[in-house]
Amino acid sequence: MKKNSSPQNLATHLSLWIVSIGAIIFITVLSSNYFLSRLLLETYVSDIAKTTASSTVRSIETIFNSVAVNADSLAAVISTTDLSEKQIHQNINAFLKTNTSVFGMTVALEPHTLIQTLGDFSPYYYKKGNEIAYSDLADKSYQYKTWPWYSDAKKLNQSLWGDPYLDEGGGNELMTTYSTPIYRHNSDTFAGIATADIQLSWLNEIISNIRIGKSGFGFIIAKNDVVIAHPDKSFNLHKLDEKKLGQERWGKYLQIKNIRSNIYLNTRCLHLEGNCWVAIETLGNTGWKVVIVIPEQELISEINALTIKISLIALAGLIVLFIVVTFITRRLTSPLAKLANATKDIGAGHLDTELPDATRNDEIGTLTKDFSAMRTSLKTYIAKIQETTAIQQKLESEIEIAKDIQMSMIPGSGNASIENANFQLFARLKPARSVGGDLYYYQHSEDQLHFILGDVSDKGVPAALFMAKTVTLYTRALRDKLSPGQTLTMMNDVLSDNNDACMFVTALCGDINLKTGKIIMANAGHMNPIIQNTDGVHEFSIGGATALGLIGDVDYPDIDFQLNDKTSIYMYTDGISEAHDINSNQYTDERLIELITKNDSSDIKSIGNKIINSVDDFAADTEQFDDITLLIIRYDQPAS
Amino acid sequence: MSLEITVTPEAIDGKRISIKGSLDSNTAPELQRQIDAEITDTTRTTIMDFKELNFLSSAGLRVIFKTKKVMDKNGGKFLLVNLQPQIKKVFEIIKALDGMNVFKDQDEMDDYLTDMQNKVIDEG
Repeated sequence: MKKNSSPQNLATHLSLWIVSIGAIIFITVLSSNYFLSRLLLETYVSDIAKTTASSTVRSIETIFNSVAVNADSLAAVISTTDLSEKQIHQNINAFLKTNTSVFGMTVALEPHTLIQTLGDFSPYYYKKGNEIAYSDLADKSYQYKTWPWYSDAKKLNQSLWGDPYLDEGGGNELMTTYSTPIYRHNSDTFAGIATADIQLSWLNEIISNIRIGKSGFGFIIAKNDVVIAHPDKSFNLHKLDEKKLGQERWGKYLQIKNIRSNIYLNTRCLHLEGNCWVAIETLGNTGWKVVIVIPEQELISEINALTIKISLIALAGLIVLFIVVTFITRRLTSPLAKLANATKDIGAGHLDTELPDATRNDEIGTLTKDFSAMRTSLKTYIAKIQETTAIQQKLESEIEIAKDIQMSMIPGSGNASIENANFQLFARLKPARSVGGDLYYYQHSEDQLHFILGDVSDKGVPAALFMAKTVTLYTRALRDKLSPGQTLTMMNDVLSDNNDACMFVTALCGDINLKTGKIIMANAGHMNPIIQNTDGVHEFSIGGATALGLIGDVDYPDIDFQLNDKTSIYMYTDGISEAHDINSNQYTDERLIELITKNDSSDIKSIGNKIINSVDDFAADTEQFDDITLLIIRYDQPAS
Repeated sequence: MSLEITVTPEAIDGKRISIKGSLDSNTAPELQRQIDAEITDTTRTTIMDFKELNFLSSAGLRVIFKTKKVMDKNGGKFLLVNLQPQIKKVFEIIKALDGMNVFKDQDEMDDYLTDMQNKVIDEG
């Protein structure tokens, strides 16, 4: 339902926000964890590789050293002691027997050096099962002096380990030989070589015992690039070359081949995808390298697997979080949804719409209670408004009737014009409100025109009542045939009596003898009329006394003067001269005089309407400020 | 347009009512209400200060006349001071200045009040 969409959205939005932020936090933590783990693992792996390389080297060296010590000791015995041929044989036998690691030994002498009488001499004793077997290497077919184990040690004049080789006679065992020079007693004259052979099958055992993770391994490579021991036996005794290693790795290998210090590097794996950590350590003075290889892939795949596991757990957590948050938000917002629907109904005017229970103690409960209270107030308020409106309507209709009554009290109901042979008259009254305090009145016979124009203080109903009284008094004065001055005096006496409210009327009152043009006027505090004749347009002062109603016993003088032919008298209330425009500027007498001057005086009705329109235009967009009344009389002298 | 009304006490049971702005049919009722509250039977002098009054309509005049009437009835004094030209003109048109105590400024009014007090002392 569309109705419920808003609170549902609130719940969904809240859930999505919380879950999104949760996801961001999780991703941040997970990725940091991933990279930190990798970093940690790399350190760990490098340690493992280095330590494994070192320990492997040490355990091999221990055995190698014990073998070398045998050959060294044999050489020392032979060079320091004058031994017979037989004794040399015995010594070789004795050394071989006492050392289990040594496979075979020989003493190969330089002819005629240690023993002057002795030519080629090289008795070789070796282990064959539990027995010790003998072979004479001085045999012409062997030519021992040409073999590297003899010639290299002689040439370099130092002990050395030879390259590994397969002992074809001894059961195809991989072997190597340690050679050490023998010198003549107390001199540095080279006298021969003592050797000790060692079988290398146990190296395979050591290498295959290296297990780091699932795929980490070690191998040994000799100086001549031949693999001596490798967990994959098919590599054994194979010579490495550029073709096997690839150009890049071969280049690297050549670079590090002659470096004796330990090396640790990360390079492309040979047998696997990805990179491998490689630790290389040199084995004693053999120049052989023990190499430990740990492929990155395995470790990374473990971290990846762990990361995936954690991600799945976190995802499950996020889903649970989403469900829980959505559930809670819905529970929280469902009363709001109900309240929102109720609000809509109440807004549409159904004030009796049922509100959700306000049983909760939280903000929503408070809101519901407040809302209920608001509805009650609203009901009361609406009832009051209806009542007031009814009164208002009644009052308005009464005022409308009052307006009709008021307008019926003045000739022409506020909009009059007369065109006679000897005068024209225009009268207009526009109250600011429905009823007002302005007034005019006229009455004419064949030779007399009586008129009055007045303005009651303030406007609205009080002014209207006072205006009614004033008009009534004027009609009484007409009946009694009072002069204008007498009229105002009489009206003032009546109006000022018991006038505690101090209402007052300003008025201009006059009689015109239509035959002669003689006019009598009296003024009770009203603005002077404007006279338009052949001399032009100007204000015409009618001296008089104060406004009607303020004080009693005032004498209003009759002021008489002569109206010439085609003279117009403009009488008006301050609703015209003080009309306001939107900037609070006033219309002013000057503007009125200017407008009259510009127009032809022969058509009073036309001028009257122009004046009214001009004031309306001036005060456009503002509320009418005061009652407006205009009375214009033009005298046309009858032809005599 | 609005009207600001300030009522301040004057010497010996007097009240000065200073009005600022426009006194017309919209603002006159409020002035009437304040005057009804401030001016009592014991008020001896009421001074209306028009220094900052810009506009005066017949509705405002009515309130002024009514106040004068109340003061006259109680034998008190009702004084108008600081009338701007356009305000003075309104009084002139309806010829209501006769019988009003109107002063063009404060000094003139002070002289008048001092005279009055001296007279009271002389008579006493």
